[in-house]
Amino acid sequence: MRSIEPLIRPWLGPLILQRAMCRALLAVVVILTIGLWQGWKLWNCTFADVTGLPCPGCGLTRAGSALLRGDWQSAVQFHPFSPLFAILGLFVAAGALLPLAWVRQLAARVTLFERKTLLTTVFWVGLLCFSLLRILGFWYQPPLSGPSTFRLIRAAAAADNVRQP
Amino acid sequence: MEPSSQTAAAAGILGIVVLVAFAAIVIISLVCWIKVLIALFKKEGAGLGILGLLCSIYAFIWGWMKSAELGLKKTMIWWTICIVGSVVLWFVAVAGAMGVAASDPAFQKEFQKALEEGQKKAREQQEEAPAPAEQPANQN
Repeated sequence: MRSIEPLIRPWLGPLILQRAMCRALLAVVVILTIGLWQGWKLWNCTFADVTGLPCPGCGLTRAGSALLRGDWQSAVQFHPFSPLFAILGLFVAAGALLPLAWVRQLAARVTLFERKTLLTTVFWVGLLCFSLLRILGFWYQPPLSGPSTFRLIRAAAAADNVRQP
Repeated sequence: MEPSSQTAAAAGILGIVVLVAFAAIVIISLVCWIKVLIALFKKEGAGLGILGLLCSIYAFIWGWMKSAELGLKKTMIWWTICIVGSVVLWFVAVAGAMGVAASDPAFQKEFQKALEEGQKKAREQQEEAPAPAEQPANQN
């Protein structure tokens, strides 16, 4: 049991307790959302840039947008874990914004729940299995965001080749 | 040289510079990310480690928060430089592409071809699995 302890260790409760982390995550999400509305690419997904494949989180923004419109079917098709990520987001927001005493109580309850059910470990295992299945083509793959910098550069290089006889 | 071909030649050089710089940025970012992930897995266990793997933003913030404690300051400075650099390069690439697109028929032709290929691929994917309602293309 001791050898698998790091694998099943609760993580959501401890995350909620890291108030500075929750606030920073919330601030970054707000900044990135504003950037997306403006059409700016402020954060590159290294996984997608290197491999050209969707990372486990690809489709979550579009799924989140569909969730906000109440379009559950589209949200689940873009990313079946999006409702669970929405709940995760609520916990992070609670950790960032609620009074410290409430956050401590919430974190203790969540940690206890995680220890009893191992649900958050199952969540990660499920997410990784889903990502693998999606990469292998067993699930709808949302197109990668906008023209990635690599694609843009490739197009410019191809045009350059066409120009030079 | 015609103005449009001057623009195209300048954009060609810019494209190569951007390509080299971006490749370097991606490699350095990847190395920094892996270093932080190793520390994250060791320190926080698999749960938050996977969160850092899934959401590099979390790994980035965690890396800065623990940089003094775990001696990750140098790594984090490099990663931050790479992130700022990639944003700057993205703007340079978009501005360059827009400049070329406005003046160079060869680029327009190539861009149109790439666009059609992308649309064809997306249609093929949609035929295989019914796609949800159309969305604006956003990050993630």
